[in-house]
Amino acid sequence: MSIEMRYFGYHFWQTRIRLVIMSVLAILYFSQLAEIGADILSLDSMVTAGAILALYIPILEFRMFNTRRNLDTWFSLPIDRWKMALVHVLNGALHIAVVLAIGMIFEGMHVSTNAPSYNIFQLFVYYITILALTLLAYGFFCFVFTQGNSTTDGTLFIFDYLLLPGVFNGIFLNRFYDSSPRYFYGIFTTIGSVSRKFEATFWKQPYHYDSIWNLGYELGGDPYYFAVNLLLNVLICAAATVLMFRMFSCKHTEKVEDVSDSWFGYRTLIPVMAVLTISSVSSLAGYMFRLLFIYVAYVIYRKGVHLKRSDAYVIFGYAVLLLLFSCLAPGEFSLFGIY
Amino acid sequence: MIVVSNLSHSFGDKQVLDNLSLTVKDGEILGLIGVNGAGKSTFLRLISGVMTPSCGEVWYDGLPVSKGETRRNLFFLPDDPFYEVAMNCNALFELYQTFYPDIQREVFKDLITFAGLPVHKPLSSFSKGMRRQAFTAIAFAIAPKYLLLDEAFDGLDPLARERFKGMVRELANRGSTIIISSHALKELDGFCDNYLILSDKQFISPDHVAAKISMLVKYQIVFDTEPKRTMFEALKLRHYQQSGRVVTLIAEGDEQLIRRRIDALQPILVDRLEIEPGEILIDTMEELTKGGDSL
Repeated sequence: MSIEMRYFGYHFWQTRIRLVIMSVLAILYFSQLAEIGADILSLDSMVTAGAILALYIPILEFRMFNTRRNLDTWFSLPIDRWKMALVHVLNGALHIAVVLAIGMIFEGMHVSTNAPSYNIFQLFVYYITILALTLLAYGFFCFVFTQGNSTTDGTLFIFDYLLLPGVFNGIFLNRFYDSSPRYFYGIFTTIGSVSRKFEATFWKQPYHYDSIWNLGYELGGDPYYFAVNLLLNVLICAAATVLMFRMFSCKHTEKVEDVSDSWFGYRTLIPVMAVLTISSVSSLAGYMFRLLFIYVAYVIYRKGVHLKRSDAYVIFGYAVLLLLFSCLAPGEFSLFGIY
Repeated sequence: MIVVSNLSHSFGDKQVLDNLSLTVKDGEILGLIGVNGAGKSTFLRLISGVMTPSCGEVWYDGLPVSKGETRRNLFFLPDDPFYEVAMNCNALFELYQTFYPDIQREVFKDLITFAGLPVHKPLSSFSKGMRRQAFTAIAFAIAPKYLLLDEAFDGLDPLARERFKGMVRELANRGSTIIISSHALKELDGFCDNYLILSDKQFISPDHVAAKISMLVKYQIVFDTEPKRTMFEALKLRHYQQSGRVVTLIAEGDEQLIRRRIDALQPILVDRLEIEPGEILIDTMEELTKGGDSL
């Protein structure tokens, strides 16, 4: 047996208690949903469970690589770094597959009770589809988490990337387009749309409106934008997963526990978030609040109140951009009474 | 054979190691000496694959250390190795057994028993010395071809230290190559086959150490009455020790001139002694610590 296989076996055994706890929680969660009733059953429960796992398991799998002391041991062991990362990704993927399989069993029980005419095999197709997309999302968030040199930074990056599509659509694109199909949706909204297409087939009606995935309804309604979003998300997630293995192989051990200066982290996220939220400012108080928020973000990034000159340039640039926007934007977004 | 070629490393803008090259023969015990912060641990991390050098290469039997396969023959014991909070000696063994299938359980058990370590108690409840003994037991149970030890003697009591040295020597006799770093010179004195001093980002050349040996002489001198140190002011002393009427000194300069000056003090006995490599290292290290001329 190869060392990689042995390590997978070891790691799986070490994380068995986590799997048991997640399985028990999954049983409690899905069994409760199955009892709700036929008319409001939503397959979104699988999407929700998958999303939670895709966001949380990367932290559990990769946090051990955020301590220098640990890396002295782990990176000197006779296994290539990318293979070590692969073992952790696969172990997390297996946990997700198990939890979603529990979900599928309960959903299956529910579908067979409330829609006996339905071909249950299609539920298996649904499970495979949702699992594949959830694993892509999981791969993406593994990449995001490993961009942080500490667990806190990695977790903040996950939240940032989770919010990014919403900020992009709701605050930025919203100013230029008035129809949501032109928005770019994140992976979980896209998975929700895919789920809803299956759901519509299950229940022989277009959509279930009593759901949290409101944006996805409209996305699901336009086949072209749906396909573009799906393709974009799949490509981004797949590329991020491949890049994660590459970057993990050349991880700078000495930077662990230090400032997270990856281009996929604060360095890009803070200015991008700043620019994206530019159009939502419509008062002096809002303006000051944004500037303060960016400063605080840099303090978290630099782990200290003394910023680098380049950070000061970004904040200054943002302030100028904001002022320009205020002059050029329609009256309702204008600052200082400039119309 | 370990070959280190033009190895350099920087932490951001700060260069910590500059163009280091080194060849370590099979079966050799190499002592790596340097003051705190000299870069010993960084050097060991670079040659064990933990860190990727900014420039240069490290080869083990012709294979690059960056490949996992190469590290099958390598075991790096850092100053503060990884262990889970709840991990006990058995769990530690299981972890390493995963990566080193040929690890010998009997050797590990014997060493743990000999050291009196509780097998079922978590490592987190151990003292630093006890933990160190558990990890050295792992190292000797693996018996790798290449063993890299960072501050190997830290936390070990004198008895454990001597036993540890004996085992390292035994491993070297079986063909293993061992690199030990330490800031405690006396620990390595007379134990290693070769020594390297790491200072100011570079190794101090063995040629320079040899040249320094030729510049120093050591004498043990006996007087009929207790001498005063001021009597030796004419000599450039590097070391002076007095016990009653007996003086042991190391002086720098022309040997004949030094001897004439000692004879002028009319001692009853003068004995020329050989200088131990460790004494040269201590002298060099003292110079480095004081910021004096390096060799």
